[in-house]
Amino acid sequence: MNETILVVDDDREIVGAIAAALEKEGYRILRAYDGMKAIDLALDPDLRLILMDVMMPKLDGLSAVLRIRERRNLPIIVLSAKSEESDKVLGLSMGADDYVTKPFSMQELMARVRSQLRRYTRLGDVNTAPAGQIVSGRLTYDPDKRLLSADGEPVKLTNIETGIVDLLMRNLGRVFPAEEIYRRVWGEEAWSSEGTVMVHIRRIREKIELNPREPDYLKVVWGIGYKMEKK
Amino acid sequence: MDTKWKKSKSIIGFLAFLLGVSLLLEGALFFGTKLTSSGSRRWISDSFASDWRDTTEFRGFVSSRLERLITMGAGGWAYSGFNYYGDYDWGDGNGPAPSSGAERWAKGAHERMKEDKNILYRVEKEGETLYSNSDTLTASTTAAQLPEGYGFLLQFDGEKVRAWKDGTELDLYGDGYYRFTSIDEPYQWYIPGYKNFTVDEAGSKVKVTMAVINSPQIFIKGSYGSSGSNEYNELYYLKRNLGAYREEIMGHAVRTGVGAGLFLVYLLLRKDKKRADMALARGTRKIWFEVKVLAAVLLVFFCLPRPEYLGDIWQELTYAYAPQASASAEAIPGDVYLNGDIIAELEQNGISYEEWLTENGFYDSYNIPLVEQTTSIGTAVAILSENGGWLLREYLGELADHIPGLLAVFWGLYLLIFNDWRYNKRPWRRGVIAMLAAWGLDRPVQKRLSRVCGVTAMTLLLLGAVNMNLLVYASSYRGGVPLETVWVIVTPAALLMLVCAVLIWRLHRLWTDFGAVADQAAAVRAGELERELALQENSDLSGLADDLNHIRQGLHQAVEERTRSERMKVELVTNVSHDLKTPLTSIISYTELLSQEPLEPPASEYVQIMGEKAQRLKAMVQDVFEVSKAASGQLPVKLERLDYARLLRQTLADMGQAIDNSGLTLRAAIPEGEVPITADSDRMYRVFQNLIGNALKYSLPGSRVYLNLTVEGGQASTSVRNTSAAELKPGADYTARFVRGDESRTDGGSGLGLSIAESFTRACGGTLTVSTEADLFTAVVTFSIEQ
Repeated sequence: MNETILVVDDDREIVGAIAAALEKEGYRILRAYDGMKAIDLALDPDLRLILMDVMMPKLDGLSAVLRIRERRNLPIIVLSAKSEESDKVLGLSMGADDYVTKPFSMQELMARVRSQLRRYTRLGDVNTAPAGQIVSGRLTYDPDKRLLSADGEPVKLTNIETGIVDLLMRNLGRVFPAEEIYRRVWGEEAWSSEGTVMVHIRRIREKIELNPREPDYLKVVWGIGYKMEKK
Repeated sequence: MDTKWKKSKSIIGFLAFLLGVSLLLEGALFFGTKLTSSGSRRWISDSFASDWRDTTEFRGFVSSRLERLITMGAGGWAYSGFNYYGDYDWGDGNGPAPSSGAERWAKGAHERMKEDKNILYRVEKEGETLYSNSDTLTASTTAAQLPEGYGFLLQFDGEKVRAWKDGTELDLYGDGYYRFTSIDEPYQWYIPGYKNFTVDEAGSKVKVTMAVINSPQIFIKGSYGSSGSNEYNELYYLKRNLGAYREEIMGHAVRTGVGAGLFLVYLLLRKDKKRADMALARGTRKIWFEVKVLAAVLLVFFCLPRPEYLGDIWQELTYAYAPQASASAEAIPGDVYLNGDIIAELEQNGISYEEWLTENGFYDSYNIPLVEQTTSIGTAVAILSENGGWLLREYLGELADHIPGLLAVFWGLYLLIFNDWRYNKRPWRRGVIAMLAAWGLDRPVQKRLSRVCGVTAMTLLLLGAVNMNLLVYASSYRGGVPLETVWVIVTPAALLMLVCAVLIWRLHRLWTDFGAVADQAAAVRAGELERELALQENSDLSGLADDLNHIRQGLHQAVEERTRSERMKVELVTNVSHDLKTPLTSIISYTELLSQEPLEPPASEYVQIMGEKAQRLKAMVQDVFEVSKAASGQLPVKLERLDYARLLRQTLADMGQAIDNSGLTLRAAIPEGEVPITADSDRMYRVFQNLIGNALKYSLPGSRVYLNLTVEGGQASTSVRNTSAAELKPGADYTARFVRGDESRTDGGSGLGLSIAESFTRACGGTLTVSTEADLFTAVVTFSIEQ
């Protein structure tokens, strides 16, 4: 693999650490320490992905993302010290494909990079879904084959897990109480279903989420139930 | 239809009440006054006698007629009933002019009586008929020989009297003694012939025979030659009056009976009548209280009779205060005796005392004080108390003559006072005084103060009204009221009212200011610190207001300063946490890279420790950031309706592994049904994650942690209780930032767990309280249940 990744951060040590980790994985790295430089380097035709810090001198990350988006359609992951929900929403709405808060775990960052690259290079245009398939972000579900793929890779699920995924994927964004999930997946009434359902939810997360502790898709709505996020 | 009937029923009920009570009242007054007066009692028994000739009236009349006839025969003068007209022209062809005055009088009397054929009479003296108006009647006529239509015969034989009624002789003398009979006993025959009532020499020569007709008629003989017609028919009127009186009593009895019947109707419809009362009360509620009282007072003044004897009492009172000069004047000499009859006569003729005295020559010759000497109120009181019963009866009698006025007063008071007070709560609240006194006052204390003054004002108003009353009554007194007395009575009352008005005016200002100060204090307490308190010029409370303004200013400054410093603190913490995150990212990243390098054992362990500590630092930075945001009230929350019980079950399921690994036992008691609350889902998860996490972290190894959700009185409370491993400091505030159970432990956490939980709970609208007892640590999270 020789895909090129642009890493932008005004902290050289952070750029160095990310570059080291990415180079280990075999990527070619471009480095920039401010927004203007990033825009210049973003013209590289071999470039496949950008990791962009937000708070930088000269031109901040989000403005740079906007400018780059005008010319190129490639995945951009924003790195930021701002961890508020509103900051994330702002970043994603400016054209970022993913938002990672500092300090991050290198493993998680690598997983996100791989995920974005796979979707960009293998699936092409992320916005077109195959007919009859349900798509939410990285996840694609084929209801006929009862098959879930993450970043185009099929996910191996047990029967129960497939049942839960089937229910939640068919009803993206809808919150299901544990009893209903249990009744519809197991096909019987249950008295204390919370624990059982929670165990399976956690297992599914391990298989589909990049960071199972802070899931992006399979979420718990505390005090109400469980849902699959619509992205 | 139904409501219409209901309405007419209440109107009927009320009218029945109105008419019934009016008639009963009238009847009660009428019979009350008649039955308590002995004269009236006799009249009643007379008018109801089966034969009018059995009445006291009849006896009295016949007795006096007999007396006159005997006098005529005996040559004396009688006065009663007839006036002596002095010289009379007898030249009417009835014989020679009488020789003496007595004879003239007797002839005159005969002239007047003779045409009245209701009474036939013959007066004989020594066998010779002197006067007679009947040819058939002689001294020897027996009861059987009386002319047709005449049933009563009376004969005086010069010594005794015998009488027959319808052929039966009457017992005239009883035991033979004449007594003075009181007016309410059956009247004795006032005739000579008793053992103690005999005839003189002249009288014994006279014989009188009288016959009385059964049904008296009117007899008129025109005497056109002299001075017009004369009518004499007393007996006819006597009988007719008895009948009329009977009819009057019967009429009253019937009316009273009708009144009682109507009252019964009212009793049957009293619930409907109550509705009418309430409707009336709704009407009267709109009238100012003072207007109602004034109207009631005026009604009493003008519609009730003013008893004249009150004037006499007034006289007693006024002369008690009158200048002592009159006491030095000479008293009326004994031979000028002014009795009540003369006074009454003078009054009737509109002649004043002084005029009468002057006319009669008394005034010039004697220095007479105008009244008998009375020098003390005590005398007046004595007069009142001694004559109380008589005065009351007198007054009741007067009332009975003023029935329309009395009814007007009665119903006026019923409508304006009784009914109004019965159905309108506190009618005095709707009045000028009440409105003025309560104007602009709405604090309870102000109202209480103004009510106290209102009562005082009302009392004074009432006193004033009584004074007015006295003056009005006094003005009805014939002699007028001395100016000094007016001063004595009116001045203190007027002064009192004036003082009260000024006092209330002053106090009202004080209360208004007091209310403003109280409002300001409440506003300051509520955190409204901008407004300046401005009282009226030189108010009694200006010092207090000044103090309060200074307190408010100081508080205002302090709060502003605190807000500013709080904001700065949050900004600082936010910036610091962002600034910390950048180097921390490097540390974590390089530690991770380092851990992937092949390292020899001690070095690899070091790297692992570095990694763990870096992770903890990351958690702490995040916590500090969140807690400072929450503390400054800038924590965004997304409130939604959620199930408290499910939240706890989910959290327990989520933390199941951590609980199992802790070696502790968690005993959860969560009710089956839904416990709906409004909160932020993710924040509440953090709250219980922190609480349970704390319990797991700090509990005595092997002990039990209890989690209970209880619902009580609209509140849902979750308690997390655990036994601390370390000794708990009593009184420590565990929700304060950076406070931990065990100061010496460094691996526990950021020390912000409880603080974050408390801030988050508060941001969601709940409360988190922490209490310790010995080593038992209890955290309670309470929310209101959504309906």
